Amino acid sequence: MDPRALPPINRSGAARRFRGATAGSLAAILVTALLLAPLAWAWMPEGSAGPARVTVLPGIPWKTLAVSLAVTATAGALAVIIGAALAAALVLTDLPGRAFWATVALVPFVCPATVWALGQAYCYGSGGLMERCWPAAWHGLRAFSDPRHYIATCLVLAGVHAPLAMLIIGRGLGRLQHAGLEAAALFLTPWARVRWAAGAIRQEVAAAFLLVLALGLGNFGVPHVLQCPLYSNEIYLRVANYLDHAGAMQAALPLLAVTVAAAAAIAWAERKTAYVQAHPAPPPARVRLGRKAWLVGGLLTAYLAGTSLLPTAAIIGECRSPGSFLKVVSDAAEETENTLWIALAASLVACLAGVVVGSWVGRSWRVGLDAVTMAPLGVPALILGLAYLRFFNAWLPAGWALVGSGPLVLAMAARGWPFTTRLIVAARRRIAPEWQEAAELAGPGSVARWRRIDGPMILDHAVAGAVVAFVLAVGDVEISHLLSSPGSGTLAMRLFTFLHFGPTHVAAGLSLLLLALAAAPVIVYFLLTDRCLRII
Amino acid sequence: MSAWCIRIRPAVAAAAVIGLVCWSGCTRHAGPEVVVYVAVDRGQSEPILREFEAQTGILARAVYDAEAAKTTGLVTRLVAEEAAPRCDVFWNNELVQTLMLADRGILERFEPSAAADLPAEFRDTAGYWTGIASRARVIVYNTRHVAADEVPRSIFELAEPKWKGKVAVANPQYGTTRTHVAALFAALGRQRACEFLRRLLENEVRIVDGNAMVKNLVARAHPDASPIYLGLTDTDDVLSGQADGEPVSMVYPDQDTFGTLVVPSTVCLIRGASHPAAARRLIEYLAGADVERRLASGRAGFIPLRAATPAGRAIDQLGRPRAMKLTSRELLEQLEPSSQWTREHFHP
Amino acid sequence: MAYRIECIDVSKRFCEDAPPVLKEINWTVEPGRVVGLVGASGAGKTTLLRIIAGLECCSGGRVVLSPQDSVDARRPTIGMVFQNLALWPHLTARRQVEYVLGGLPRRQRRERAATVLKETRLLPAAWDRRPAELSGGEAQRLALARALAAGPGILLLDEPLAQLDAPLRGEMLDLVTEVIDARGVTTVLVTHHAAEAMMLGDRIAVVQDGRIEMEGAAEEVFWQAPSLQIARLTGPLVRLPRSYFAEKLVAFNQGSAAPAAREWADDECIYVRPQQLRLVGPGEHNQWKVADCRPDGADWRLALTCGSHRIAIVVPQAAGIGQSVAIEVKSRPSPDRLLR
Repeated sequence: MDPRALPPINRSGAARRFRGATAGSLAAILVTALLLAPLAWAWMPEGSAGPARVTVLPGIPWKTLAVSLAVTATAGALAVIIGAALAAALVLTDLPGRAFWATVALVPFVCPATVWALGQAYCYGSGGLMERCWPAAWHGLRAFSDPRHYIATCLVLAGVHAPLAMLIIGRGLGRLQHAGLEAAALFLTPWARVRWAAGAIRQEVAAAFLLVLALGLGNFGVPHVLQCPLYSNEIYLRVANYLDHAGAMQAALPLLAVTVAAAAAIAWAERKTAYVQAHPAPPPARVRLGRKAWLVGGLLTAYLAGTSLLPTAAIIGECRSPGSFLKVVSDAAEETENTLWIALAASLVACLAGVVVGSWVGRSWRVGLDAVTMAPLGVPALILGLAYLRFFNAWLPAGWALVGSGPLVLAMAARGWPFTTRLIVAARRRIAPEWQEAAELAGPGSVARWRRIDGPMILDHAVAGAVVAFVLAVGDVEISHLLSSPGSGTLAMRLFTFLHFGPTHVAAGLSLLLLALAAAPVIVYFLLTDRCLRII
Repeated sequence: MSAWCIRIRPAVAAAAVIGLVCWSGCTRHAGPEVVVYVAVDRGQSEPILREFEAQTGILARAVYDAEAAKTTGLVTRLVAEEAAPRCDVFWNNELVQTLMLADRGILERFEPSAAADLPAEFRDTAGYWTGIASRARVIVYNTRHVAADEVPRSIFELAEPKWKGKVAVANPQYGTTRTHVAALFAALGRQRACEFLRRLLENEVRIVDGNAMVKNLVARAHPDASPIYLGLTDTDDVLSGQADGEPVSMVYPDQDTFGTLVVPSTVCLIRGASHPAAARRLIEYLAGADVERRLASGRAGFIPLRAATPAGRAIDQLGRPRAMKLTSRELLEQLEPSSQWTREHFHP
Repeated sequence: MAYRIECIDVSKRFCEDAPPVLKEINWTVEPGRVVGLVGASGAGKTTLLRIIAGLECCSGGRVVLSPQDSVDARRPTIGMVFQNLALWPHLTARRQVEYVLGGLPRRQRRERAATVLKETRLLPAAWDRRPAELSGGEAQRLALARALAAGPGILLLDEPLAQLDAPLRGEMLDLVTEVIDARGVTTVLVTHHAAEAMMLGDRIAVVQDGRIEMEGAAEEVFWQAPSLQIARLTGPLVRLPRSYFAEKLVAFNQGSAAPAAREWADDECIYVRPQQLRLVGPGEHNQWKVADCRPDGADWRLALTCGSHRIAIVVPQAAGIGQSVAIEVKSRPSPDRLLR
């Protein structure tokens, strides 16, 4: 076929750059407004349709807030140190099996916080695995504990959020490899090299610390399981015991001020980092460990064993027997089904919302927009659930039966949505402008362009976001507790009710079941893609 | 970019997920149902509700409250939903807050025929509530670290210096502990009760979230790390622990003086219930001797209200307790004043 | 169908406080022509190209793209080869081209894609590979095939050979020339290398400081640059200070007029193209010694010294050049085209 004889293809539309208020931006604004409207509503004064206050707790417990800040800040610093060490081992070295290690290191985050804390308690708490197997070591360890379990809570919070720090700092370290790491290895002493690297990734370190602070301060499951009187428990008391919604929201204000500001500050901390990849990146330079690989691998194994394997073994140990575990599973069949479909629905909605908003925000580099999309990360699930409860109480006071689990799914989607948005924004910004321009010039309409160019490029991030939203929904207890309709409880709620006064083997069995449900999509993702889940 | 991202057909995958979600969400129960708020431990109540479902075909949509809040959380929810109740039946694990609900007009009269053989003190004369099995307040102790003859026989002994820092109680703002404090206010008078509570606080009593937590702490006591050897809790918590092989036992306090608090579980019908017929059937079922027998012989070892119903082995051995002589009205009157005092003085 | 490109008072400023990148450019590219845009970095060549492509909008003026024999300003299909190729990393070579052909039935798409890929001489073995798996030359061919697939009315090439090594550059230059000649599509090529533009293009436009300072045929632009800056952009120059002529180190040959009538400033010098110099054998003015002689591709670079003076020139062959030479300036076509 003579190419000169081929007629040109007619194009009806002009290649036009995206600018201004187009359908995409309107959709993004609409989705954001829909998901966050209940939060805005939450501070409205209660009308006659609102629930009646039974008792009002006076004042704001400032001392508890200060203590909570101190505990969480310490946990944040610890998480950053642990995460940086993990990231350095996995990103900068040639340690074998890095993808596997990275996926296993993610387990504390993807596991429901309540289950994680319970596992730590079963392992390191009174009467736990450590005490039974190594009483002398356990007594030595317990000497460092405090009666209110602040240290234990701090350590567990650090362990839960260290994987996030690992991912954020790992991304910064990955950039180092193309920013002079080999030159640093040639010219600098080892200590100078460490200082150089630390300076080069200071933005990521700041972002990781702020994220852990925002998430840790609002975490309810860990302090609740460990019986540590942190601020989230104060809010829960007001909500659950006194139904003092307005009081709970007022008490939540100082907490929210810190968490939302911390989450928004992440955008500022990362304002100058760019990850656009127009060209395939050259193979990264890695530090050759040689025989030290055994040492590094050993340390990794010890850390993961201490934080993940042993607590899991402790949970399994508390299950008493396979038969007893199966009985627990069969008794919880209805809750398992509820959990699965609610989590699936929530992750789908969160993913779609994240794609809409993230695609639009990711087109530009505006710190303000980034801060707005990051800020919802700092809203604790308890506050989110309460906001949705108040919103739907106000608009549907007698009609709950009609909407069923709709509000619950929406609230859980709102919880996972900031993560999916963040991932999509990062994916969108990795798309080089030239790729977009080439696609615009090539001519096919925006739908075809999305389907063949933009969509595939953000697909794996979208799937990762859906997985994160799924595991968050599986482990959620705060929102479920507030918004579940009668008889539509979830596994996490069931565990919550058996947590302290039910038979231990039931709580352990439910924990194991939740762990399996939350870990399954992560494992499937790893098997399919041979890479660890990217969360941030 | 992963190969699987290219190979997989996003539309098919999305359709499969959406289909699964819709199918799961759409398979809802279409028959009769009743909504019941349950403050009784889920481990004991759930099998009974399942049995009810199996016998009657009525789906029991239960709401179980969480640990710390327990009864108080459900009660406040009932109060808040007064104008548009979602609940049909409230199965409480104590009495005082049921009385409070009746006082506020949230309950509806219903006297189940199955409760006709109950002693009169365990049925409301006005017909707003019916007692089921009961529990008693006890002193729990760790059998490994406390000899049987050392165990305090009165709650006042818990404030003695020898037990400093070794006693735990549940948060007195909720549950049976709240009722117990109200009962002490009624039985001893405000001054004496406050004095006892103050001495308990000075004795570094540990305050935890629930009665089960008290039992857990006592069961796991260790001289070096966690020397909580005694606690105030309920019979069902101790018996559950014993069933799990934990080193705990119990005594009824103050049997020679004013007795101990015996707390009947109660069941009541909510005014304006959406499923009144199903609700009445459930109350009839729960108030029957069969349920009482199951609760008594179950893991939690509830104390039967009917003399004819045999108690569980553990209660049989210990004997039935001597109860405080208090009327429900006296208890109710002291509920708010005692709660206010504990709110001001007890900080977990 | 080839398109005419008309830029009418096109100007561009990226923000209010910044100086303008393009200043009221009026420029026309006739249908079917191949024009090279040459200029220093930051001159505005790529910006102008992107405005023509519609990827940027101009702050003032307009661009009219009209088909041949018509003034109807319909938007044509534009094919563009980006400087860094901008190949989509997740699509195979075949799919890259098929994507551009979206709207056609599938079978037709495949056939047409195969035709274009063959036209750019990309081997079939590479058609199912992704860009990361292609060599530099293969990626270049793919980028060209993608740009040509839809039969564009305008082809824009933004430094298409910048990332290639010399042998590959030559090969790709031949391919691009062949393809453009075969299709007769209006082409604008942006490049730093004037020689590339001269090989590919019918005409050269020199962009400097946001303006098109000169446009003409390659030979005209090469030999008749109106200023030293433009001459530097369009080819190599040799600097001859006034003192060389005063000391008779360099002479004008017979028939070429020297600027003898002019009064020279003290530090003035002239610039000539290397092709304007001739090395002659020993004679009256053979003061220059050949200090060094090195190959420079196909040419030879000679370092000539005379006392404290030193000059470097490039000659096509070194054979026959003795140890001492004289330098004559012969100008072509006009003896007055000596740049200052």
